[in-house]
Amino acid sequence: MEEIIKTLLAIDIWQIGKIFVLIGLGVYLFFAFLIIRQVRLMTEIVEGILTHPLRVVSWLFFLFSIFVFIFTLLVL
Amino acid sequence: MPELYSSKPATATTADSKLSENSKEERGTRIRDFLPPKKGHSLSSFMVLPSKSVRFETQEPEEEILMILRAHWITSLPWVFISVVLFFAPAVLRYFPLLSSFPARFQIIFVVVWYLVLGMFIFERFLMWFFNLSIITDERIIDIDFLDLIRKKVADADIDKIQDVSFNNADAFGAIFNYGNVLVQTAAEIVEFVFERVPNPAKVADVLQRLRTEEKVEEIEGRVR
Repeated sequence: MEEIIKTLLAIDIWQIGKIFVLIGLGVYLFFAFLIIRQVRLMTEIVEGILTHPLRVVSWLFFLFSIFVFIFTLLVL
Repeated sequence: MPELYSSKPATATTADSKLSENSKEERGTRIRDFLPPKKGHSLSSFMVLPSKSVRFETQEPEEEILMILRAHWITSLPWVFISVVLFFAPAVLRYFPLLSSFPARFQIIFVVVWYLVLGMFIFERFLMWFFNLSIITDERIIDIDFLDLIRKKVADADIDKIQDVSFNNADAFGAIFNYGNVLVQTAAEIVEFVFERVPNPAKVADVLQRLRTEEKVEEIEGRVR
């Protein structure tokens, strides 16, 4: 029993917090990738209105979310 | 013959201008004086005769886009307002130290993630507004609905299948800013089309009615593509 309590007390709560934040950012990364696919699909349905700017913005979101994921990995 | 069936503008009277209009019609740019003047840009909710570079997926080579409609910009105001509030939220929260029990590095990450999620929220809302389009061509109407980021619904009906066109003001703001729903009953597979909260619904309904009449005249004259 004492061992279990000692183990529980030894757990760094901030490390658990870091794991949850990284899981959340991982989900976000998947979502950002989904947005790239979706923007491509949308701009294929209607071509010629802001096609390239929207594709660029979707890629910027994806790249920025990768940057935030790595930043979180290093900072936390 | 009423003026709407005429392929010439009211001012054109000379033989030369008739020739020039005929040649325009041969090239597929029929003059329709019932259409509003050419206007609109990429972010406009009411585009009339957009440039030839604008095309949609199932467009036929000879098909001409007459109007592209999307919800009036004022209907985007709620999410724009929410975005502005959320943008300033971290600055306001500094005075309410909810995150003060967290280490500084976590506080920084929370703010970064906050703006990341907010940015995506704004972009997603913008996309949903931007790509929920109603297109009127010289041959048919097309309704493109993105239900969410995964599911889309594209429906079209030939102009000659239109049975009834009506419109209403969507809400009180619709009456003030002149936007509303245009309801199109058709004999096609999709029975009803709704162009939701589009600007100037009366004009859109009028254009559809006149296109339907034009199509019937073409059918009688045997000029149906």
